[in-house]
Amino acid sequence: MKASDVALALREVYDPELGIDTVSLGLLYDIEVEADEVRVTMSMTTPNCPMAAAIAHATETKLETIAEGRGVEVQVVHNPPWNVGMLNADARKWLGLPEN
Amino acid sequence: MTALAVRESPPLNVVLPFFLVAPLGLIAAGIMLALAGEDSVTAVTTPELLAATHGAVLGWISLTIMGALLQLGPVLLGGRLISHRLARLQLWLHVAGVGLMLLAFQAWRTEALVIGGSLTALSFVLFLVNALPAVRWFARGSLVRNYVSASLFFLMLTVAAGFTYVLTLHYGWFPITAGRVAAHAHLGLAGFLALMLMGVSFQLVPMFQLAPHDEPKFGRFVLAWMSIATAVFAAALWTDPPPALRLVAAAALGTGALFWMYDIAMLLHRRAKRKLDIQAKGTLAALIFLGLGIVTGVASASGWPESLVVEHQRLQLAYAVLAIGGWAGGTLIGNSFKVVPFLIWNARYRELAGKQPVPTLAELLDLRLANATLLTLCLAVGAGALAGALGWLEGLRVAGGMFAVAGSLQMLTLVLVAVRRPQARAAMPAPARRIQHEGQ
Repeated sequence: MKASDVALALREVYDPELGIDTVSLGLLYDIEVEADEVRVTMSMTTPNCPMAAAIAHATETKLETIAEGRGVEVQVVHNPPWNVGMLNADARKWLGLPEN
Repeated sequence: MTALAVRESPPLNVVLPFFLVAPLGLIAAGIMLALAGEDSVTAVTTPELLAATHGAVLGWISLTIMGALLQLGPVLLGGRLISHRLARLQLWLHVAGVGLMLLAFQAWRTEALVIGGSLTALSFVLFLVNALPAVRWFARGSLVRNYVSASLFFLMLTVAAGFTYVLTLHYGWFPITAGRVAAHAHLGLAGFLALMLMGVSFQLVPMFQLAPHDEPKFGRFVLAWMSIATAVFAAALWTDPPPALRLVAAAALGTGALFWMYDIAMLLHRRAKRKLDIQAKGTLAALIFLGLGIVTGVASASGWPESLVVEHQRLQLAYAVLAIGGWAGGTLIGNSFKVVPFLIWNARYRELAGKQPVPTLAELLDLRLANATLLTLCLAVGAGALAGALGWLEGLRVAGGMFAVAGSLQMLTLVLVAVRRPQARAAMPAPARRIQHEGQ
């Protein structure tokens, strides 16, 4: 399993408020796949996001379904803080923002 | 394992009833306006107008704010309520107290007003006892904590003044002049309500609209300015001051509100979510009504035109409709249609997310009903303010009916959020799923 496989799987984890997946939102900062563990470092669109725990939990749940017996760790960070520039083209279009 | 501490939110059955019951206050206020007597367009202290004002502020607005603080304090800030059972008890105590107060105002029965006022005051005390530990968890010195703390301080003053007046009406301790009624009203409106709406908007507008989280340019200035102006204005009103003094104090309050409007308008301007959702629409409507409310409020405080006392009273009525129904109402409706779907999603779908497709918050809301609610409220505010300013009794009664319809629509929309189980559809399709759909 490669980091790109993890990223593909996490495109099915959504921010329930925005209706956009975590990859398109640019929330995933780092993915590490090791022999015994999958580690994801991610952020939220806002500090104190009320959905933070739910999105992190959904990410963890999704990882467990693809981890092939590895341990799973999701770390939520706010440094660097998320910004609109991290959105991909699909997400920008969904939100009504002009393309970069 | 997540590095993020999973914050404990109160159970759904503790918080949700606050939001579902709150629109009853708007319905009751609308019915009271619809029953308004002829003197209601020449004086703002008639039984029906007092009942309508207290129904809207103590019922609709206060219950929604209570629900929001009981939920958002623990979820956003990691605080804890003292007791879930106390929150449930306090809700029904509040409903009984406010309901009795409205009937007592309408029938002008001071002994019933004493009982209703006592229950309501007790409810506020229990709420403060229960919610303050949650608020205490706000980051020290944070803007939102400061606004909420100042607002709750003014709430205590408002409740103390109101309860004293209720007892005075019955026992005749001292004369309750128009100025003293206005002092109580402004402690509640500019102190409790305005500071709460301002502080919570600084939290919720950037969060829901994906606006930058930089500290608002005038956030701290507005808090200090509004707090001082409210305290000075209320103290001045107590002495029934001349119009010139009232005008200066009202202009000071209006200036503070204008600076806040600038900050919120800038947040909306810089938002990443360009499509207007229900919260953005509610906030925009609220800003427009606040602008109109500032103009009518300042004109009303000036006593203008001095030779026509009736017009001055009419402006007060228009000001109250714009500020309470328009500004607070637009803000509340926009945010309640965000917060309640969040509560339901968190309780029902959180454990399923990541395992199977689940609805988004937007899918939990019937958007047509939500838009109809906001539109009806805006029409009611426009009609009520116009009818009040023109002294048009029939128009005021029609506006009352429209407020009752808006309250009913809001309640229906929120109940449907709680009971409907929609399919997941509206989320942006992931590429993998899109390819699969296209291939089918």
